[in-house]
Amino acid sequence: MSVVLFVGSPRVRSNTRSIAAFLRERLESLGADVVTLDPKRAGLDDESFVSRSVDTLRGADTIVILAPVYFDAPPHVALAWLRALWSHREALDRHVPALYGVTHSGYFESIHKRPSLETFEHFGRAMGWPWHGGLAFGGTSPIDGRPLEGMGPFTRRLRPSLDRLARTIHERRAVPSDLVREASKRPIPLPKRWIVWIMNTMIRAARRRKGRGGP
Amino acid sequence: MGTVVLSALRIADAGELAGRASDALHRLLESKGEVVQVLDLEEADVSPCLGCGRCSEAGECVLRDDMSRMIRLIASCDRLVLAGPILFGTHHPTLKRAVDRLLPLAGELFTIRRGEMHHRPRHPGRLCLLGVGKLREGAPQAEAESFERLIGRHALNIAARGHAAVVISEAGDVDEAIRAGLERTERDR
Repeated sequence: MSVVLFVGSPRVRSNTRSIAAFLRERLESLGADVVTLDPKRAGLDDESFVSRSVDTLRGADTIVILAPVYFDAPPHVALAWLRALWSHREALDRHVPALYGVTHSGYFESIHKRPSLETFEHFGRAMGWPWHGGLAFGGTSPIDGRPLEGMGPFTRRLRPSLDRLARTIHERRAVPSDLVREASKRPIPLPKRWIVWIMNTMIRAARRRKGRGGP
Repeated sequence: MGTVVLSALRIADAGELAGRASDALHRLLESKGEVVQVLDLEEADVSPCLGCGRCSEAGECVLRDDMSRMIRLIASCDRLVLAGPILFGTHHPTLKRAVDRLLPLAGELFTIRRGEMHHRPRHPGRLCLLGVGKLREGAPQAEAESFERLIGRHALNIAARGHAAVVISEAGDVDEAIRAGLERTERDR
């Protein structure tokens, strides 16, 4: 099978890229041919990136859109790519890949990620590509663009969920609801108020070291 | 005080109906005699967010362009209007490029708001939010519903005093829809 992973993040040290690299490795271990399209590295404004995307997608039987949440939705770079593909939809006519999505943010609750998954689903419908579901991960800020292996407790939900997602994609199945639930659990099983208190304490301590204040 | 409008209603993707919506929005705001600042994203110089996160600490973006000026106006206005075509239930990328740059509105510290984790707002309790989205011809109603939910999410995110979402489509009365949206946010100001 041939899978295209699209990395829709503007960051240099991108957690989305870390997640995509992990998923790619798992898919390849299952025998899939994987191509990663990364406009941050290639430059989305470059029309040749869009043309290359269209050519690559013509040969793919599965597409996974990966994007962080910026202000409640996928960032500009991800939406610009979806719009570019939609405007080239005639070139992709009669090509029907399975569509999956992965989104994430520092916030733990999955409700923050819901608009992004809805957007991927609407995009699939507009393109005529069957939506196979998506996963939403929270608490991903500590990854800071590093490989997921060796990240310890911060990725203890992420890695097994991505493992299962790779198998699901490989079998071209819809993302099962128990995997959606598992992926959306907090990586650190503490009450929300404690997590907020710990994070604010760490931020205040860092501010004191730097001699600054603010909201 | 006053209203700030970030508008992608005049971009090529938006179409003629969105142009009428843009005219109606400007006309109705002007008729109220209030201070209105408009950033027309068709012409504006707005770079995409780098995702560097430095605004979280500093409260301002490292990029210098039209959005640097607008974010200062937004911090002191009491109504923000986000207007543009709806694409896949969310903002068109031209508008989203500006919306991503609103991240400095969020403070660095966290809080729990309506049971959810959020950043503390840097300018609490000032803004009302109005979303104006133009649904493309043939798009399913589900995209309009996603857009309305998105505006609700934005309002919660920035701790807005109130919000309204208006969806413009071929079937409806543009002037009436925008007037109703402005009135709903007027009441919350």
